[in-house]
Amino acid sequence: MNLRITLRALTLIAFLILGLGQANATFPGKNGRIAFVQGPDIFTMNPDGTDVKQLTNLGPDSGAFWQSWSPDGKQIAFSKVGPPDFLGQIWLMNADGSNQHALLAEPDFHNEGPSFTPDGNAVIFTRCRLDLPETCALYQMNVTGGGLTAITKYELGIGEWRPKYSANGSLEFQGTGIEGIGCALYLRADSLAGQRRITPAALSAATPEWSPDGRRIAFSTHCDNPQNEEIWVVNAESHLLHRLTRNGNDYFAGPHDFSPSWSPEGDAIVFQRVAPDLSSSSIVIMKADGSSSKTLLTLRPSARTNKSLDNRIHELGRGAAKRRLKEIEEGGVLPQWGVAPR
Amino acid sequence: MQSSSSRHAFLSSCFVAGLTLILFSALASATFAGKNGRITFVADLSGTFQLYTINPDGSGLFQVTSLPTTSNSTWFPDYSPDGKQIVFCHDMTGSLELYVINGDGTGLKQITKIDGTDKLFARWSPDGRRLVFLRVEGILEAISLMPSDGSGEIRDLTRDPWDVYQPTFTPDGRHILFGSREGGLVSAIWIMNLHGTDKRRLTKAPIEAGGPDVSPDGRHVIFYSRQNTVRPGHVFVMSVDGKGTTQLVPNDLVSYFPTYSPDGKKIAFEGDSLGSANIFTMNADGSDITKITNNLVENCGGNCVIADWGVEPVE
Repeated sequence: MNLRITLRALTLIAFLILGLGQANATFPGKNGRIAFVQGPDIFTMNPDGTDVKQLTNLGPDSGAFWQSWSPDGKQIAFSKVGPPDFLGQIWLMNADGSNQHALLAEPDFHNEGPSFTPDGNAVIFTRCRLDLPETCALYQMNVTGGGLTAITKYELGIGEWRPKYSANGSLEFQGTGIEGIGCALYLRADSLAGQRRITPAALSAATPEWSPDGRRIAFSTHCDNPQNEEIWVVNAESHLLHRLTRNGNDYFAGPHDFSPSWSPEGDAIVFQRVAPDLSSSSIVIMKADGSSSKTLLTLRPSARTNKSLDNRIHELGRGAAKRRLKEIEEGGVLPQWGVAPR
Repeated sequence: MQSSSSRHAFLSSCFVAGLTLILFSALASATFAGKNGRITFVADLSGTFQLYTINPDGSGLFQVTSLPTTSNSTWFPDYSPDGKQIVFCHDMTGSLELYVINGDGTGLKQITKIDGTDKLFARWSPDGRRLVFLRVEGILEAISLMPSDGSGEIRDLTRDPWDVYQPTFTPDGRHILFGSREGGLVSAIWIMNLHGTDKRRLTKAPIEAGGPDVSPDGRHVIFYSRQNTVRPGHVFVMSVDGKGTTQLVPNDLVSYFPTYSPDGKKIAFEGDSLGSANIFTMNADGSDITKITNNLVENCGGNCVIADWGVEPVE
């Protein structure tokens, strides 16, 4: 705890001394490209669906996913799995796919879902113990390597996923199994004050993503029950909810929406939409109020060619609850909207 | 329902035959109460999982089934109200179907048809005429009713888009308790009527309650905590209205799937310690915890022995 407090204080002091502007220090900016996953690899494209570029080329035995842009739009952090142990590793690469290198690969932990701190100097991610089932906490480390630091504590059967910092340093994440609730979003505005739940249990919130102004969080619903997943927004302070997509009550009649990501200008949200019969997956863009949705790209669902790899991924750090849903989610396209580099 | 040991004593006191016949219908609709019989469970004691019964003192182990090898150990056996039959689920056809067998191992009968769904968690109604069970179709689950002889249609009571499981009748046959994730909770115990309506949640987060069983007098519910989690569970009791939750088995013995004895005075449950799962018994107030089996399942990760305590059959 003392170490966490110290690091937090040092980060705050660094902000004050260096005068790093809050607004432009992190994810807000001019709308850049959208990164997404197809099969085992990460791609980028323009926000209109043009100029698709493949960044990784891992082949059927490996996989890259849970990618996240650096605040300046010049780097992408991502998870990578592959032989021999298929444990999740934390990797970095430039926005054009060059300089791919591992930041953290551990034989006794599964690591996934990295995202950058507002100053771009560190990544925060989920680190799962292998000696205890379904037990994952949040850790942070420097993008230059080293400085591995616990942000939250391990607790048997508790998972903490998709950590994301806002521009002003508030940390939100998806918790599973905390206080008897399946999935919900939690906010750590201040490490001294601890965390608080900001979404109701019945929404089963997952895949949170800050708006660039740091005031709202977009998320998908129903992470672990057979209801049509939708995109909602919650106000980080008031906890007021706003429903952006409405997909009905019949699981096989309505679409399934996952993984929203705001545009850096805050005017739009891109997300993954899976067809009602789960036969295809699309990247859809809509205005931030939920209107004017448009499909950018349609992909095969779970395009990984190596099913044993898929299964291996699911075994790591995850329960067996709803593998079908997890397959859609983790084998999905995970669109992430980056800032246009200056 | 027949409450209690006093009615049981009354019925078993060999009153005149005519009086017994007159009262028979009341007994039949009441059911599970009676003289304590054997405990049924599934274990791999001979190289594959089979159904067994045992006396409550741990003596008289009897192998009921000799079915094809399966990797599925969770058959959820349940004694019929008269103590003569056991219903369970098995995957020998490729899907989970319900079967009934006599306690002596004769009369095996498949009572559900292969229709692309799995059926599990079957429990008898107090009058023995129906079964409540879980029907799983893909990712959708329903609590369903069917005649216990396999005739007639399956009727779904729930169609809600939440995980449901472990249904069981109340002793008066008018309600069903079940586990559910409704409302986004990891697990809670709910009650509803036989139309699937008037649903109420009985337990609160964060206890993560599952595996309910109602006492023969209909007044109490035993269950275990940490359903749907990897955390160690423990057996609790509460009133049937959800009040007065009390832990019965202490933290140093991980415990799951409690089942009342027919006289309501005892409880059998799965206890896990030192990597082995066993059947334990105790008094209904949690006292006198006794292990009645000898390392039934080694390297158990929890939920390894799902037992049911039957009535002693009256011939």
